[in-house]
Amino acid sequence: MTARAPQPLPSPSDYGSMSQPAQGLGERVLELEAERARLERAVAALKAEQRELLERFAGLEEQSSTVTTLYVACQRLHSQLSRREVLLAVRELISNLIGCEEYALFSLASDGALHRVASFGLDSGALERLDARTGLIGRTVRTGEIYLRPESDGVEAAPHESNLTACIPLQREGIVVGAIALFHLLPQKPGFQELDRELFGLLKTHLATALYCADLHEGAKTRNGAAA
Amino acid sequence: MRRKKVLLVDDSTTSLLMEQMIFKNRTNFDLITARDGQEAVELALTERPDLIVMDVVMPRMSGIEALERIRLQEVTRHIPVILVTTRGEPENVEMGYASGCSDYVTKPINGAELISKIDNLIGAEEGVLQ
Repeated sequence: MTARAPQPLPSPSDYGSMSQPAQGLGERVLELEAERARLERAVAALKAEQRELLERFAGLEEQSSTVTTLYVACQRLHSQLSRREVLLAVRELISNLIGCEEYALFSLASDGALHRVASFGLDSGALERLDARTGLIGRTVRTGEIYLRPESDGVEAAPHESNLTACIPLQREGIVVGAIALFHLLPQKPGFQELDRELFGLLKTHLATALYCADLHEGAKTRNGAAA
Repeated sequence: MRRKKVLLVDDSTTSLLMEQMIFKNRTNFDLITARDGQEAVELALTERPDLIVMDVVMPRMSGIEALERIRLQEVTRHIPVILVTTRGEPENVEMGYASGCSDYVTKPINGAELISKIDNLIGAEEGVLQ
């Protein structure tokens, strides 16, 4: 059996020469085509709306994730009054929330030197005491600005800073009292994201206060113990 | 309908708190927690959770050893286990799968990724808030 070639549809100009029923069908075709065009416009509008909603959802998802992470970090820093526990919280935040496996925490002494308070995953010998007048860690302390690699501003990295990926100044009442230096990131962590920058901001303003409160509390406990 | 129960296992308070927040924000699962592999094995036997999310490096008993024990018990061997690894290197992942894990995530945990994996393992119709 041979297939019949499809008949071309009549154009609207042909409708006038058609019989009454055929003309009615032609008008119906026109109506349906108009309806189809309207529906296609509606589908396109819905697709655009869906895209917009998905983008908004992704943005809200990111915001929710940021708020959750900041809440957890804040809770961990301020939910205890033991220096040891605060330092453990810092280690967990850096490892589990930021994804960094090497870090050192320094306090700034009155002689301008940075003294290592805590570290993890590093040969701490080279980082025991640093001169705050030199290197990237020193610059962070002097400027109070968070350092993120690959910024350099012409400042020479000291030999112990060759793997430095970020340095966060620690402030108490707006005065820099120390710094956290982050070195190697975990293999699956390609670099820092917006969430990390938010966390760095939180550490910058909250960590020194948390440590100060812990020291005050432990000092008070010691004094009360001695008085009793 | 019974709400699904998830056992979260991690020795890090920070990780555990983060996981709890992720679940509370996005699911209505009941949550129970353990701080090491030994406690996880015991809770898996007594609580029979629908899913376990477990860290690998823990004191007393590692996540890998706990997973192997969970897979040996008749009443717990079917429970899907998602391992949380600190290092996502292939050999660590292979070791997890060889021990019987259902899936894995790496730290820092991405909430959307974790929930998507849970959705694949125990279904979205009950518990995962869409």
